Amino acid sequence: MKTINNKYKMNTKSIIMLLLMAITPLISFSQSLFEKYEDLDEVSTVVVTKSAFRLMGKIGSDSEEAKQYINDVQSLDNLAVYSTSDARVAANMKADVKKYLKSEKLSELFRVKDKNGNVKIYVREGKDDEHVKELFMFIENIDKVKIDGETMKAVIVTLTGDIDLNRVGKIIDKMNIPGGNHIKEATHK
Amino acid sequence: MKNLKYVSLLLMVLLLNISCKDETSIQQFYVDSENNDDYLMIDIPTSIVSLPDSATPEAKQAYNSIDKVNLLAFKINETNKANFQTEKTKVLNILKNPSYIELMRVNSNGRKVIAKYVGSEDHMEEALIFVSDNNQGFALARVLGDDMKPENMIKLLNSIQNIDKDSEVFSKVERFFK
Repeated sequence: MKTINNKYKMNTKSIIMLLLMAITPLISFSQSLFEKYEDLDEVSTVVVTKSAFRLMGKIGSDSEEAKQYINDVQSLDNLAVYSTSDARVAANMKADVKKYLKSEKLSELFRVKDKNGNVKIYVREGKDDEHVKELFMFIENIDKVKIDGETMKAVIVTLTGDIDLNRVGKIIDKMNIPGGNHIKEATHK
Repeated sequence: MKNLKYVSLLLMVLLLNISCKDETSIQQFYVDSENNDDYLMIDIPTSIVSLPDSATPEAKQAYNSIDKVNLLAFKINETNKANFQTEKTKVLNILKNPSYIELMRVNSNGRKVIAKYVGSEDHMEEALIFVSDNNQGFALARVLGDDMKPENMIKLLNSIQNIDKDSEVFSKVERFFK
């Protein structure tokens, strides 16, 4: 009798483990803490995917600069920009940014306070000193940055991939990202 | 052990069912909305534009690789304002299908643009652009073709000369958007 009971116990344990293993890939890990802002009317969102970067490179002209650009963007994953002119949403963003920085263990690269606002740039360690896996920028209390005619109160910019710190300034320069000039400043060697 | 085998088989069946969710395909959506007057559904053939003989081989390749442009549009008017959100959500849900690979999306002030494609970056079968405006309506343009190459598409756009304004298709589209 005892041996049969033992067999049954083992089976249950295996079943639970199997269930867990099966379910885990189905649980969509919340991609990004910030994706929820996309549905809000008060938020403007721009997301460019890895595919788009690669395509942009293909369409480029044959100039030497374009070829370099093609090379640079191959290693980019996604770019996401979230901006809002609503004070309440901006406050929520600030709190979420704090959470994100803590949980993802990003380290501050650069900080500047100019007449436009507070700009903070963070990075996630990459494969070596020259590379980062993520470049994250948060700008708040902006007075002069206007998107679609409205003054922004908070802007989140996140760029992921295998980012070369030496080259990222040039890449960002080509895109019209608020605060992009600071990324160039921060990484300019 | 028999229990374990049975359970794992059951789980596999379950998993398969969940991953092959029954999502409304575009074809199904078209069939369902055929008689809905709020929609313009039209195929625009490539013959509506003409390419000069002097066009580059890349432009010609692009031109030949396109089968047609399929346009679906919903224009908001007094009567259908209430349906706008529902219909828009239906189309957006279709676009969530994983075979549509996302290129980019932009949201701002009640306006939305989403660009996706089917196939691979070097051989696109379909390019989709969805645009929506909370005051005007939404539209989904699907460029359907075989082995479409984006870099050639740009060359094609530069080479296009005449749009056949006399064609029936052109007038239909024009009338709808007026």
